Amino acid sequence: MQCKRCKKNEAKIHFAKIINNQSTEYHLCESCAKEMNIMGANHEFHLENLIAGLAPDAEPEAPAAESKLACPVCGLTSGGFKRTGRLGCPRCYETFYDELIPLLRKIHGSSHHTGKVPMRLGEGGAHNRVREIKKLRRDLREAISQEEYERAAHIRDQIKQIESELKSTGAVNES
Amino acid sequence: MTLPLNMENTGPWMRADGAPDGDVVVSSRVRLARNLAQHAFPHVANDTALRAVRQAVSDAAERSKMLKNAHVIQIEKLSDIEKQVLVERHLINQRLIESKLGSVIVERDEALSVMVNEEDHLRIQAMEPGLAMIDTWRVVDSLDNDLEATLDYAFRPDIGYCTACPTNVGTGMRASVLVHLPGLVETKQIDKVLKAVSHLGLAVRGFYGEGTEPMSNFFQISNQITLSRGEEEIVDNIEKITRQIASKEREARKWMYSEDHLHVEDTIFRAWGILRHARLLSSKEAMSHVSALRLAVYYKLIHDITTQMLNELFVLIQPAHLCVSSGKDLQAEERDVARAELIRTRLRMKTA
Ligand SMILES: [Zn+2]
Ligand SMILES: [Zn+2]
Repeated sequence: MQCKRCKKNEAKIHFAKIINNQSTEYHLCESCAKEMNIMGANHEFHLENLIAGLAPDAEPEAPAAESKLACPVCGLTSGGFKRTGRLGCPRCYETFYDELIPLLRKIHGSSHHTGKVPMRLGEGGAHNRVREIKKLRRDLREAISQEEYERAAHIRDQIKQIESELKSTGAVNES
Repeated sequence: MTLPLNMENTGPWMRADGAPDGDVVVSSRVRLARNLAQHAFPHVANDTALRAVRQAVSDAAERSKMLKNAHVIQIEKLSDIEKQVLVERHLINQRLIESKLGSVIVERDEALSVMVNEEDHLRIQAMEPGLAMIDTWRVVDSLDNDLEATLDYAFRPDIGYCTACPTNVGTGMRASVLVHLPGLVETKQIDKVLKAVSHLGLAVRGFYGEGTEPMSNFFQISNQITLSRGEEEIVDNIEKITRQIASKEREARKWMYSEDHLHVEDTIFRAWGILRHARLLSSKEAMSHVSALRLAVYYKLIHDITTQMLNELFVLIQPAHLCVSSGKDLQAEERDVARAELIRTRLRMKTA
């Protein structure tokens, strides 16, 4: 496939960005990927620079006063964040929250975490087990629809076991 | 410092028998990005903080049963060649080499490792041969739980694990498979497949050996989005899509053989001849012939070789490995000599 940017070289990197439900395909050759700073030494892929490259689009809307924002812990400024596409410390997520949320929606299509939760966060352990059960129930439906009854029976046992563990330990349970 | 690794062979994890879908899928890898709540991210942190992070992670690793045979390797103590060896074994990357106070904790079978002070404080990694996304995730998930028992991770319930770059936030998970698709390349269906896959929220790129040209038939497929989907959903999705690609690849291989078996066999047996007799082999030439031999295993044309042997060769014939096993810094032509010799020896060994 030809590189969609220079229309000369063979494309070696393929991905799509979905922004506001609009999907843009990228098929890039190596030198274009390097020019766009999304490929570094040893051919490592740095998608974050593409995101940093998206920042100029957003800049005209941002009032000048906003750029005075700086993280009280690491000192990173809003401008610094836009230039590098990187945050300085965990606290930055709070400092730049208002800028981050739209950015996360741009990158990931949503700004809400639905994955793993650390065990130590109170109900974290139980929370993860509940998610595990949900996943097993999905598997169970799939197994039954494909008439794999042996697998279904096995999954059902797993669900029962986790449910009884959750009942007996109350909440946190490390596997 | 000498690396506490067996340089005669690759990591033991690569040598396991019967990798699922191993005819098409070389390996599965899952990496989790984690940071400690009380320190700045590595690119901002000062030396004191970086040292504290490194110590805290080493201590946590020491308490994990999963890392009970692990070595802690401090990157700044290694020679350039030793660093490159770790890159060739997929244990570290360029960014960790550039980090001032980085380390890598490597479990003995090399399937499990933790990079410390790369872009994030921790990059926890698990690898498995073949298509084993879900198992690989389970392993890395348990190690993450182990480490979390000691470490205080930066996490927010709304957006998940905090990472230096917002592209990794949420699950912090990057899951990938390395696939070998000579059939789809040869039958010119590869563009269609690459387009389809990129629209499914996955990124695909050529896979690089030595040099600047990607190895034409190898591709790495990984998730692009780390937030708003659960880990199981992400790995499950990659596994399902990869399984579909693998079945398309097999169809293409079958079609190629039925259409023109003479041409297919000729390419394979030429590769076999060259690899067993050549005196000088560039990385590019060697890689393309080794790739042809993977097909020989698939078509059951040559019985003395296995896919695992070939997967290992891909690692062992890279420059830093050649230098370390010959005990000196080799120039380009000397490397070609050493590479040809290593391949000749390996391909004459009978499999057990
Ligand atoms: Zn180009
Ligand atoms: Zn900060």
